[in-house]
Amino acid sequence: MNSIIVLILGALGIGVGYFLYARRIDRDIVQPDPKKATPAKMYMDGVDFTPSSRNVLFGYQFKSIAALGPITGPIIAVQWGWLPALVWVILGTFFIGWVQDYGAMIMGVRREGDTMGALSYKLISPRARNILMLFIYFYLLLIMGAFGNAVGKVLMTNPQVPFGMIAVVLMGVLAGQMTYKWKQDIILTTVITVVLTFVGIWVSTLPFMSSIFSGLYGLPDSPTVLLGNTQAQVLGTLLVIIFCYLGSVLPIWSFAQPINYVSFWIVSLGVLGGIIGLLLWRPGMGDFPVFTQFTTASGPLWPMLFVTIACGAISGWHSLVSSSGTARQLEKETDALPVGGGAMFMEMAFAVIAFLTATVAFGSFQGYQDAGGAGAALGVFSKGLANFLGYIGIPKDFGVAYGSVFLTIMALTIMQLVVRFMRVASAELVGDALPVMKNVHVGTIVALLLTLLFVWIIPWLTIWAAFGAANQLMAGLALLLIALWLMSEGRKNTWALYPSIFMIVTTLAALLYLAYTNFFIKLPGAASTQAAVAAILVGIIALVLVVAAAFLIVDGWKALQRPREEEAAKAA
Amino acid sequence: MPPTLQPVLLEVLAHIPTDLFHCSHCERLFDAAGIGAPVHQEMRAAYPPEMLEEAAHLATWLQGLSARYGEQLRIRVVDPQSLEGFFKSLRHRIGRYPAFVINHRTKYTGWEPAALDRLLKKWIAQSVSCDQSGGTKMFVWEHVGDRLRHIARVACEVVYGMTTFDWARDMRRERGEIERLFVLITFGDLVGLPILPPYYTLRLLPYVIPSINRWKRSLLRERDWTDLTGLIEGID
Repeated sequence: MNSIIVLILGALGIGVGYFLYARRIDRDIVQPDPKKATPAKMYMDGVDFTPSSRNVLFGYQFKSIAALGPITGPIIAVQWGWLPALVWVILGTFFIGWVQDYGAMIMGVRREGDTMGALSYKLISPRARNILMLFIYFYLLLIMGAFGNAVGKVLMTNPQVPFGMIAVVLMGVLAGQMTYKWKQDIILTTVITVVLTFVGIWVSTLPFMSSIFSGLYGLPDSPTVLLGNTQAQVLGTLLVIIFCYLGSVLPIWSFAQPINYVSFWIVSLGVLGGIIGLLLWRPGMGDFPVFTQFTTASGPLWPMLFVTIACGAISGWHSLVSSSGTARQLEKETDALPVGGGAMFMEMAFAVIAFLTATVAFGSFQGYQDAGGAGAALGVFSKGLANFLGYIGIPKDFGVAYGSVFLTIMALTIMQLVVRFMRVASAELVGDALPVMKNVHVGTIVALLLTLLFVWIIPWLTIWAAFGAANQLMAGLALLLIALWLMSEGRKNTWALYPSIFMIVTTLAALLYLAYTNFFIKLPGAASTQAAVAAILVGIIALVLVVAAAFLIVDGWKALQRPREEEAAKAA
Repeated sequence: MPPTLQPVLLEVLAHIPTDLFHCSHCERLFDAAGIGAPVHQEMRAAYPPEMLEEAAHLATWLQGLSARYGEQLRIRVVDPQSLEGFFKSLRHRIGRYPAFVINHRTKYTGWEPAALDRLLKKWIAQSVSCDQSGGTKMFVWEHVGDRLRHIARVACEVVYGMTTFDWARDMRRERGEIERLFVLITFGDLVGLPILPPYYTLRLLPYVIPSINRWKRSLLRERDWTDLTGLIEGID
């Protein structure tokens, strides 16, 4: 199949999904009223509750939900063949993804800007809120492990990448100084920092620079030095950890925020260049198989494919952003569909582009495997992107370094903020019992040590599957909440309830599969202590999530029955 | 047929006497101490007398235009010292002020009301005839231009949402936290904190009253972990 046909299919998915299905549900079932006061207007405090233009919010929502998830998931999932991955990306968004994002947003608007935690408490049960917290905690821990692994152990081990990453960070710091300290205008700041970043990436590809990092990494045959990791992997991971530490302890305006800003331009230009290159090239799938086999290294197609591609089809994290963040800023109820649903459909387009970098960019399945395959998804993306960029005249070496830097920086901007979150959360949780945890540096170091444990010990595909499962459980919970809220308002809820049932059942099956393989296959066959610890760790996480989900199902079922019981009690 | 629904836009580029303000709390303090109004009065009075006279003359002129043309005319005043004013001066090659730009096209610089009236009448007449005849070729292009401007504005807003909106939001959040803390320190007794209201707090009370409900709601709003996700948006 030609890449243009895939793009057309994606566009059709968006067109039919948004303009026919989503709009119909919005108009006929939810019936938003543009004249009704939203929480942003009712409780306007100039801080959290502030009405904003829907165009601005669309950009904000898209930026908030689209990062490495929609890139990584489809690239791993094509190991089952290109058809299952493409079908799940398009149909997952069509029937489930936008439903969750839009539903969480409009529910937040109608329920006075309540967070998902508060809504779980009110609509399901008090302990549902604690279960949500548990999902969030594991989600964050696993995301740190997954992204740390993908970046530190794959991308950063290429000696042509680290200096480019350092350049982005330095330019981000410069952008912060220029904006907040020297009061320079944003156009000048952007031009200087973005141009210098590109120069830095180019310098990183020069032989003298890459030879420095080759020497540090002990390449070409980097020796194994710690827990089965090579010197290059250990140093690459430590570099990532140092940046996360700085991002977590330095004031946000001086580090995390301006780096985020500079990387936006680096990423946007890369995606734009990649799309132009793809359109000029218009490659076909070659011998990339439609379907490979039911069971691959990640497990059976059902349920594992559906947790492998989370963001890009459906992701529970979006519901938190939609309810706590965006719902409190909507000016009109009618803005919820273009902002929540529209951003999700746009993310689907992003996932389709990532899918194409894995399938058509190498011309064959062997090419995909040679580029790293599912085990090095981000490496596949950077090489695929370099192939696309080659069609607009960008040299291959620069393209690979550029793609790697932009993925690294995307991961880093996420990781440093997650560490910040974990630091704040641990200070809140155990700060009274252990006052030392209130110390910024101690809290950060503890979070980073936990991250290193996950990165150095647990294999990439396992950690990605566990991360996807935690994420999809949150999605199941969010969809259940939306269904309960619709029921409480006397509206038709099947469009949210059936996706909720599908997501909860699928994710439970994935978690049980993970627990089973880790306890009964990987643990008995573990060749090292490290492998045994990894199997136990993942098995325990999977079981904890299964138990949490079981409580949730029981409470959710009771909540669904509550109106009938109340009616019966009234009748009696 | 009623007059056109599409008003003619008159942009006025003129230096405007402005005075600088502190944060709202400082301003309230200044007002309470009785020095707010004199400070601003002094700032405004410090401008050269001829400039103040010109500003007053211009204000009267614009009021007259507004009264005469009503809804057919939309007036926007732009300070040349603003970013927008700078670019408009550059685009229309304006060197002297006040300058008037009609519908982004016709420029007039000077103090002659009759000359400006002639231009305005011409544009309003064109606009009405366009409305009655269903549009002329020029106005078709105008609509295309409007559409393109609209698309550019939407694109700018989306990019803003993806980039610096977060910065602005964080700044707002920071300011909100400080304001909440300030009111808590001075009026904590309103939410049950044992703070004895000192004399100056009582003098601030009239200024704080309008925002007390908002402050209480903001301060007492239930928060949980999911509120913290604001820290890490953009994670997926």
